Amino acid sequence: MSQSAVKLMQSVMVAFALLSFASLANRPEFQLELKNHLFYPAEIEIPANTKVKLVIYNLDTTPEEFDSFDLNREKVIFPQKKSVIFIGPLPPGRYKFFGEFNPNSAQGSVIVVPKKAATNNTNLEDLALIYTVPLAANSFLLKEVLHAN
Amino acid sequence: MLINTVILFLRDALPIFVISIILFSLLQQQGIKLWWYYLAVLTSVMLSLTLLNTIDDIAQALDDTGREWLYAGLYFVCYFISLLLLSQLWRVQTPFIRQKNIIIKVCAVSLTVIVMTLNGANFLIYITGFWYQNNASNALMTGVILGGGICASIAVLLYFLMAFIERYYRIIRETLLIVFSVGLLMKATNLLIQIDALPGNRLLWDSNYLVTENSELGQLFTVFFGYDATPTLLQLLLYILAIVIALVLTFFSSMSAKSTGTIASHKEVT
Repeated sequence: MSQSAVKLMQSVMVAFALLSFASLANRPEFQLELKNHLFYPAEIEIPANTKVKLVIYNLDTTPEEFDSFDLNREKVIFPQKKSVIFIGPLPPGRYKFFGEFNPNSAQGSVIVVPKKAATNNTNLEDLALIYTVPLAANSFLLKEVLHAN
Repeated sequence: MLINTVILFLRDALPIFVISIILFSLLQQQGIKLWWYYLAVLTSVMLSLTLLNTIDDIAQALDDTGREWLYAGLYFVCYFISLLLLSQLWRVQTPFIRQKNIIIKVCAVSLTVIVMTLNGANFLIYITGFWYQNNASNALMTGVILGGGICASIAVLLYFLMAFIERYYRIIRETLLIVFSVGLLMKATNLLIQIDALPGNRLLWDSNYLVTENSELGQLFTVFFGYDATPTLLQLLLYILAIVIALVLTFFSSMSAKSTGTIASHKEVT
């Protein structure tokens, strides 16, 4: 392989590494669960014009594909595993998503609310926690039940 | 379940049929026999099954972004293989024809294997996940047969269309390969945006009101030329750049083939 080709490959790798480091920046995190082919919560509020990290837990025994034409996202979530996608920054509005493998039951929406409304009484991190802590607790409980069985 | 299986089969299998027909047609023109395709199918089946058994571990790697990195990386590789293939197709028939044909065959096998493995594994995830559910297997089987029939019909139509068009414009087939592989690049960028490895901040437009991305026509456009109803500026620039690079390469390869051909014919005369 020529030196120029090696240099080109190195540059591409460095570029991707830099982009990956950029992605390590803290993003508000929201969680979603899939149980019996239903999303919990079915509606999730996120702040406008902010990129957020969405962590989806699949508690079913079959795979599911998180799909959204509004959000332009598509990701398989394997049974009993979690998956991560990033969405936004988005203008206020309602963005539908569904489970590609069970489109009739697994449906939900991301509701993007103005940042001021979302941060009226609390900051973004608190907002994320408010939504995700009960879910995380449920997730742990369910995992323990599954484990015990 | 039936309709869903048909839709998913179309999404995952149509790219396999399309790339197969494009490559059949291109290699047939070079006088290359079909055995390369059997090799590619056999390899793809084995790799799809391997990927199916390892994909959940791969997906959990790199902070739950392993699958995106793998797929995006392989889609980029597909684009570069297409460029290599295009550069070889125009090379004049020289004493090095055997070497040229080997490169073409390796490119064709690699492209088919990558597309077939990635898409095949996607569909197998769905099929194996739901096979044992109550009353699901019949619907799945019927969906696969229907989807297979639709894909085969499109493939046959495309094959005869290309054979018909080829009489007038040889470049059509090369162009189809270019837009198909650039479409794979678009898929790669979507995956990288999804995991925040590429910026996806500003959407340029939303053409869903013209052609909805999830409609049958939208799926067809996505397979053939990487249609994206909501592209970002980066994606648009990359799309244009990738097409321009491939077209320039094809143009220079054809010019170089013509000049080499002229020199060779001069030598024969003298």
